[in-house]
Amino acid sequence: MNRAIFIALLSCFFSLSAVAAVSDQGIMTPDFNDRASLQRGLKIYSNYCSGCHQLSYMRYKEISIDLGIPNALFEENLLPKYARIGDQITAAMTPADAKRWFGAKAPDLTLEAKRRSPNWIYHYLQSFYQDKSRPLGVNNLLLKNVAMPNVLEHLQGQRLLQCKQGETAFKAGHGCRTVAGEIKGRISEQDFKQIAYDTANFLAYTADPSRFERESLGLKVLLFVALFSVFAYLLKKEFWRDVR
Amino acid sequence: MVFFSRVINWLDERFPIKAFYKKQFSEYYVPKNLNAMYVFGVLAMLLLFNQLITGIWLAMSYTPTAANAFASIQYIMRDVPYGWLIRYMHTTGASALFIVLYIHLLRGLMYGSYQRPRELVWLLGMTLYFIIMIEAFMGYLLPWGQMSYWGAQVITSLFGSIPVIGKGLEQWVRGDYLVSGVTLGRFYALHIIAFPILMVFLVYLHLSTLRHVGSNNPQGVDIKKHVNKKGVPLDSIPFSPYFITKDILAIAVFLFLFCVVIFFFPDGFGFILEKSNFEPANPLITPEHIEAAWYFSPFYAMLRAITFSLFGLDAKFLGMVVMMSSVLIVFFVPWLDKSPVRSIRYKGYLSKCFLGLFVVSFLVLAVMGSLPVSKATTWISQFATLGYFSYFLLMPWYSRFETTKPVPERVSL
Amino acid sequence: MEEKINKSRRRFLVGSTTALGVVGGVGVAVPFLCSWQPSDAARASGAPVQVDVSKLEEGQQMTIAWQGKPVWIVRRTAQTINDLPKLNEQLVDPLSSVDQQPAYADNLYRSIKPEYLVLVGICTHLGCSPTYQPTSASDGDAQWYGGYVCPCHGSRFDLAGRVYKHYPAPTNLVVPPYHFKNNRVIVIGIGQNAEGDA
Repeated sequence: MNRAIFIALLSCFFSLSAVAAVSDQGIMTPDFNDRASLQRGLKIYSNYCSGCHQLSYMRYKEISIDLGIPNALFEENLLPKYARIGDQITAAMTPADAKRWFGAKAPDLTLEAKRRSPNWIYHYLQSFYQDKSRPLGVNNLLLKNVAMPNVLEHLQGQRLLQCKQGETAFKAGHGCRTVAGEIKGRISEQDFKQIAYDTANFLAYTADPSRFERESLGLKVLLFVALFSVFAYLLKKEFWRDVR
Repeated sequence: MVFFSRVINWLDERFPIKAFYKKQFSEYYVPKNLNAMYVFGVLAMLLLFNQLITGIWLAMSYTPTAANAFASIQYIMRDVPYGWLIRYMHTTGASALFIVLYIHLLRGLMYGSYQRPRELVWLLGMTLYFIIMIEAFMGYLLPWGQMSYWGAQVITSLFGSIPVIGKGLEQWVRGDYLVSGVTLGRFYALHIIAFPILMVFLVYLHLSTLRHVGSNNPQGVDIKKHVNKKGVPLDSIPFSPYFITKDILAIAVFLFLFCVVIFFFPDGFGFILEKSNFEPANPLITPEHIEAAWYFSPFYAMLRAITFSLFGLDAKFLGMVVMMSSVLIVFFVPWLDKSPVRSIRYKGYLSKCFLGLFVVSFLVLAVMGSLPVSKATTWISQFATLGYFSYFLLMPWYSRFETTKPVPERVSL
Repeated sequence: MEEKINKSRRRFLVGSTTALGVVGGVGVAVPFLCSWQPSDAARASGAPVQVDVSKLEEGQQMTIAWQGKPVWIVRRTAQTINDLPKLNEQLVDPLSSVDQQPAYADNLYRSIKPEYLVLVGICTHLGCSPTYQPTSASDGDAQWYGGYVCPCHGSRFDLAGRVYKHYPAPTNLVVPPYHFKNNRVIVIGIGQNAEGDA
């Protein structure tokens, strides 16, 4: 029963059309209360990122608790065969292999959203474009000479670089953007934005997992300190009536 | 109740706690006109205590090796129960301590709290501040992120600028050719043992000298001139209960703000925990933009402002000299101020203008130190450095020759 | 000081503020005390362990780590199984009346299958780990049917982890929660009724 709900939940990520929490200027704000988004982000991480990128400071168990996925369900569907639920999330690819295959180590993604920002990740995933001069045939407007292949290309479709006359990419304030190429993606632009959003949202969560606990505890602490302040104020006022 | 007083009496016969309470609290007389600027001393003490306790707890789970330091911080943040809270209390506490200390220092400068007979209080306080700066600098290396590493690299490089002995000194401080696990080990030991002991001792001296001469007040009036028959100053009230209740209120209000940051903005928008420090230290790649922790920013700006050689000394060395002098010169304020009055309220316009210039320069330098270097920031920093030093170096003249207002005999509320 | 001091109001405010301060102090202490609980890393390494026992020969013992503790698995010989009841006279608690084992192992053999013994290898006296001596005790005791001798204070246990009389250890060795996943694999840390899932 649970599993059916779970699969229905995960499969609906292709059909979601509304991009939540992205402003008109295209600035993305993480939403930790959107559990569905975080769960979809986990799915994308598992399918597309986890081969190379670790989340080595994160444990499967913590994700299963925070994202509201029951332990048994998680072990059955999302836990790699070699791992235990309490383990930290490692990648199959070793750093040495990464160096050999892509010329660079695949960074650990646990803290990526803190090191850059969730918004950066959101746009980074959408900023790949075709570049014949690169070994993997792609480049990225946000990360010059990116060593990572565009693993989501089949979903997004081919993207081409388009610059204003006389401009080139990577100069400050360049007038370049990416536009759709000939090969269309498997999903619509809106749906792809949602994928980028969910991934960024999930990585924002892995970078700051204490936030759930922190903010709810913080509220209680502030209420208590406020109450204490009222009493401290009355106490001070009462004694200082003597002073004139 | 009876039992309680018997315990107290038993203790008092063996250790004079009643006399201590009388001397330090119930019959310690404080000017009654102390304003809100006078609560930052107790807040600084609270924060030092916070750093001490959270620091002990962090040391339980932290690993001071180059290979494991970064991961052990994440271990604390994720695996240790409430580790995140304890660490955020420590990181936020460090920044809060500097805010509190800067206001505490400004209070001293405003009301002339360094003047006779409080020179020693000032000197001990400044020594304490200097020690806290070094303590914070060493603690900053421990997370072993990119900013930690390169910050330590830059500052230890300064030793290398000293003529003749520089290079040897630099390697001696680091214990290696570059900052490495060896440096981390010694910074850790000093950060958690040596300096805290020193700080506790200095706090004790700072407080006991203060208690000996008594607090200054916003009007700079000497309350000991008018005393009653028992020798109690007429314009004073006992520390307990009046200033205890006031300090408790101050602590409560402060804690509210402190908790807002800890629980809702622990990164402090990149000022408490910098973005580049979420990447493990890499001795082969310097991050694009390296900046000092915000509380060192003004001094860092002065270091960068010196871009020229002078008297055959190169810019790097001069920069370090300027930076060190900017802290050291504050020690000498008691002897630079020749004014017959203490408080800024009764000093002349020149003093007020220069104090304003000092504050503005300090803030401008803080902003400049956090921006990437450009021609504009260098120019502005140079002017602000001049402003900073002119407050101190010209003080002997403007404080002596300006006309001051008469100081009232008695304090007013 | 013309106004009269309202003493009861003062007493109330001092009392209530102090009480709140104490509550706050206790509240601050909570995270510090809780942080001494086992961390997630410790809990992860204390997770259930699966052991393949198909390679274990008769009379052999293997040691694995569970929750950082040594756990022994012994494949008892038919002889050993026959010998166990003969020892009752010499044991402190031959019928395992002290609760040192899960209900499903509360029998003469202190195990699910008589053939396989699973024990936490920590002496119930002061926490040392006894050594396996299947054939003869160190002092050449003729009556020895095989078992464990603790190197720290000499406590002796038979091959069901039951303690001998006249030695310092007070109770039998602990049997951890475990179950057979199949004929070859034992899962230590999860009992037969899914109890002990830490």
